[in-house]
Amino acid sequence: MRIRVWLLLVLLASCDTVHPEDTSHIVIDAYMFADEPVPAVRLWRSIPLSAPYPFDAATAIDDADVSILVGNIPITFVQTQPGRYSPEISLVSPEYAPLALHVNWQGTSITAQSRVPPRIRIDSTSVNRSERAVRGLILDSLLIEPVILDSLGVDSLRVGAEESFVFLVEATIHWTVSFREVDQDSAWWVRTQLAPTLDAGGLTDEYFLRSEQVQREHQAATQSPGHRYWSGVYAVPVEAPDALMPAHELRISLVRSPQEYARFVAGRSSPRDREPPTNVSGARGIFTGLSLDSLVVLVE
Amino acid sequence: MLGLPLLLAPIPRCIDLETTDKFKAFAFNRPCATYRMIARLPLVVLLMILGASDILAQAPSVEVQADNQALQGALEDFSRSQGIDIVYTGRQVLGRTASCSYVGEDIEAALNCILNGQDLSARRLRRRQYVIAWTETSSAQEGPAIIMGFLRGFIRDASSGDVLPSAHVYLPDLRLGAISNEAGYFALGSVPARDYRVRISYLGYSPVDTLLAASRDALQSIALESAPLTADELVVQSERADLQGIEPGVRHVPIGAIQMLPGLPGESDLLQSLRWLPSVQKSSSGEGGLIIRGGQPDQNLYLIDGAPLYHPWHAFSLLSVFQTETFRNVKLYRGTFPAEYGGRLSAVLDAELKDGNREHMQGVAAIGVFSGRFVLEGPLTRKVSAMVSGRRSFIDQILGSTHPVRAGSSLDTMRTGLYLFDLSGKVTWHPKSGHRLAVSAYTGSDVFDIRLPFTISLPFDNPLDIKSWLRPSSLVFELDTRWSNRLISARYQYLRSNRLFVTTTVYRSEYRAREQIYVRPVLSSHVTSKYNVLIKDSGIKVDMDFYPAATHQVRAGLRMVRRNFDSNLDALVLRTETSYDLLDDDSELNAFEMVAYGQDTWQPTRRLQIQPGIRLSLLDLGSGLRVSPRLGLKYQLTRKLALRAASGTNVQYMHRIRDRYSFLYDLMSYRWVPASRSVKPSTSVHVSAGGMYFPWAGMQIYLDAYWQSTRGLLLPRDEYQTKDGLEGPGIALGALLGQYTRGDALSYGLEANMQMERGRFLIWASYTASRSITRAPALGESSYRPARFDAPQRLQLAVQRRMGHWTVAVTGFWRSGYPVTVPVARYAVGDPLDSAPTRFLVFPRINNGRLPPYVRYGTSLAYEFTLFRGTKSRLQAQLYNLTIRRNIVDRFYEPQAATPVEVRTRRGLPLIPLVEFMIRF
Repeated sequence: MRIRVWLLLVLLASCDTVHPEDTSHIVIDAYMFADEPVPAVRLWRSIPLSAPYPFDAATAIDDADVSILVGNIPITFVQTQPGRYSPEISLVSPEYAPLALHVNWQGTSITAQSRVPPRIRIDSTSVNRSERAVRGLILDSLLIEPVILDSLGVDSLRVGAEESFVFLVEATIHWTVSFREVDQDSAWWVRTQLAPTLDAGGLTDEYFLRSEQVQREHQAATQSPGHRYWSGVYAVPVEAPDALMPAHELRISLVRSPQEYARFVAGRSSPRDREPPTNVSGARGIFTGLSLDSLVVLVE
Repeated sequence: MLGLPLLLAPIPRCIDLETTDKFKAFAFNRPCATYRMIARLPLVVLLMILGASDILAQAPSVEVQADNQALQGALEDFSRSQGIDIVYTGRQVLGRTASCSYVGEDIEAALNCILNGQDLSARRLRRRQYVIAWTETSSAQEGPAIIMGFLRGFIRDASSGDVLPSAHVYLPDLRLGAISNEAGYFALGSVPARDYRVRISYLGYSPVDTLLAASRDALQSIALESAPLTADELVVQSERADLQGIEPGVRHVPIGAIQMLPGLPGESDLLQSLRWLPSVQKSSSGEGGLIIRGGQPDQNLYLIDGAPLYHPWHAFSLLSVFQTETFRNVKLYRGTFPAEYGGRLSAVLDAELKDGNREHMQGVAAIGVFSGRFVLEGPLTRKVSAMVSGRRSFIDQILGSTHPVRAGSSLDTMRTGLYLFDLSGKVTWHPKSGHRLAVSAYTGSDVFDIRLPFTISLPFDNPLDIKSWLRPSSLVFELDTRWSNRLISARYQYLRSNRLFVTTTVYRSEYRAREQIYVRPVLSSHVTSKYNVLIKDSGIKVDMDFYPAATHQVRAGLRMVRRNFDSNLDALVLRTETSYDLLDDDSELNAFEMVAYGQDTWQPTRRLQIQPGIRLSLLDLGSGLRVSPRLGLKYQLTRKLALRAASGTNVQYMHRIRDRYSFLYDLMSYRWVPASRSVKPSTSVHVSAGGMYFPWAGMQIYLDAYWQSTRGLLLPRDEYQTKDGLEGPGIALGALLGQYTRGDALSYGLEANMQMERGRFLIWASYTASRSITRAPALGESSYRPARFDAPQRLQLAVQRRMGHWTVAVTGFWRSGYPVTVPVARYAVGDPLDSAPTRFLVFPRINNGRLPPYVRYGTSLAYEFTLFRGTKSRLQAQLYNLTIRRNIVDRFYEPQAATPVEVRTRRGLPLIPLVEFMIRF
């Protein structure tokens, strides 16, 4: 009898807690921009790992009931393309308006809340670049990985880094905060981004320079009350030290958002390891109010 | 819990003794003894705990009628009729007669009636056990008085004169035992003065059977000879294993046997050897640590001569700082500790450095693949002995630590300064009998100092030609990381009186880590960072061993410790001349902890040992007074079989955490933070029960079940956050704690361990079936998920055989794969600033899958010989991962490919040959 008890305990102890998981999940991306008409909402479905990922009808969610409450005005959405739902009426999202999303699809209820931030505008930008190219790193990975010369095998271990020459481009964004940064208003976040239209320094930018940042707005650098600024740097690789910097366009973006978007963006950095946090209940993705301003400059 | 069915089950009717009174209901006859013992043990224990001993002890009717009967026969008849144990010597009874008539309720009075007219008297030693003792007449009024005495003394190593803590002194006549304390002192107080047969045993030593006299003043000194084979060789410890001498809860580690078994690092290492015990596994992460009964590595307390050691690992946990030959006694407590230990939830490893040989000089020197080491010990004067030991790695001596490199006109100096060292010493002074002063010191450090070009590549055709893979570079990264432990302790032990032994320990322990980083990714940009972590412990401990009676050994004490936690960061991130960040931050915390404890080791019956204890602790940062009760039980069913159970609660006032965002700090080090009003201490409840079965000489079987519930763990808020940027939330305590949330953990399991010594064979097998699960309610986790190193099944097997000078061993290690989070689907989400949606994987649950089972085999071959006269040498070669199995130790998923998700794996170590040469002189 005692032996049986022990055997039972052994079996219980070795039981695992792995459960079969559902592979079909609803995904939403919906952004409501301050002082702009309510845009379309996209509803997608996740697919198994073994399938290639097409953004087509195979992953679209059709026949869903979608509605959004902007302030106290309900807006109903209708499907206009596979997975794409457009508002039935044209309405501008006012600043500070509370937002509520409600989706019904095959008995599944999806909800989310957010808020429209106050409008943000880039007051001015300045772009400077180094006068000449300097030695710099083109970094693919910091890991030491095997280099396979041919089918015969591994020749050496190398870091995914290569020495080259780079121009450093520094851009500064100035903007005005038109509200008192106290209480709830101080809860806004800003995302600043420099996006050149060429292959820039890759991980060198990400690890050591700074082409993008998400931070609490009241923690951004300030020159005078109500005026904030941010500086970013990216590298433009060239072949030789005496080469000219290739002319390229640079999109400079400034986004004001509630915390859910900041968390979503910050959590996107390692898609290999984790999902970004979502504020949508019953689905994945993001539903948020945003205020966005961007401009494109030519850098040469 | 296991006792509950037995408690509730009806006890079958066995043939009882002739009496029917209440007292006799607990007497037993031989055929039913075993079953009744099992059946009634929980009830007896419960009643004892509930203070119902008075009910049990309610006196029966006692009747004696003897008329000129032989004294021995009268005592035997009385013993049988009352179901009691009467202890006497032949000299006390031979040739004597007894005449007595007694009717009453007092057994002791009845016995004294039998002894009337003799110079003898009976004394109750404990429940159902009486001792016949000689008497002396102190006065006409008071009548004869029993001469009581003490059986006490010190137990030493016959060869070195070193005291032997935790040795077992056993009196077979009384079925009574005692354990020697840290000073090798034992005492059995208040026993009748006479000669007793005594058996003294100690792991790794030949037991001694001798006759010792209990008297008022005599202080015995017993010397034990170490086993014929030296301590680090294949020791036939199981033959000398003494079931009676095992304290509840403690596991003395048979290091001598298991350290010969193959495994990394292939040289003497205590903590690595512990992995052969069930439920002891090593964390496979770089920060290292042992996982004992499902706990986290920071839940283990490591003590060297009473002082705590915060980071007992070298070389990213390849080696521990515990060099086996340096220690004379190592005790491992898993889950439930005696009341003197605390402050951690999972385990306590209490190691004591050798005092140093008091008779002659001796030493050990060895060299392995990673390091060379030595131990030297001997007498300095007649009363002073010393031990010194050291170890240092030598890879930097082969590769060099600085390398001037040249390419054309470019010059640079690369650095590959990688080394570790340990240095420990102890001086012991024995000013007079019963006094001992020992001063111990340890220092050890790791240095990882590199300056390398970013574009480093290691060619396989000649990897040791370091200059072929270094070259001048304008873009470099430098990392100078050092971490070190330093401790010093002074311990004074003295025999205050027959009944009181006092040990006072003062200590100071430091853990320092320093990280210096210099990175130049672009010629005009750089990152410099200096980060320091320091923990200082200054403490005093007073422990008192009190021996009020033969069946009680009380230990009580006080502890006071002040801890300082400092860290500071000074960093510059220079991108361009106008774009830079300065980080300058300091964090300093102090905590003061007070502890008081008391514990009794009580042997109420010949078979039962109870160890109740209580520990009170208080932290000045506002966590309030914490009470941690403990209870250990051991019940000796037969000479070969004993049951044990233990339960207790523990409090841990410190959490070990690290920043999870920034490359600039906590890169390789961890920070300890004290509990406070905002961060509650972790608490746990641990219950274990099991048995020890020694069926024949050379065979030991241990079986234990345990259950532990832990509250207040700090679990990462985002399990998958990895360091991915230069600037993180900062080093302030709040910024660090914000990355964690409170969680719970549950671990439970079954452990089986078999050690068999048969002829020239040693077979070691250990099996663990266990689970370790956690949850963080604040993150919405209502159910538990597997912990990071949860391994439901674990089996280790080793077979070792000696053949003359040769010893060969083969080992196998199997365990379940560690948990891994497996995605089940993928999706994409767009963003207003992105040109295309970003693809993500659906991770439905943390640790929802498992890696394939981990299997590894190893072998070793050792040859012993005499290189120089008076020395013994050993050359040992090992093959780690004999079958070159590339175990999968991690798995990644690449979501960005348009094709099906790519699965990438990281594999374990390949075959590694190891060799070590050791000489003992």
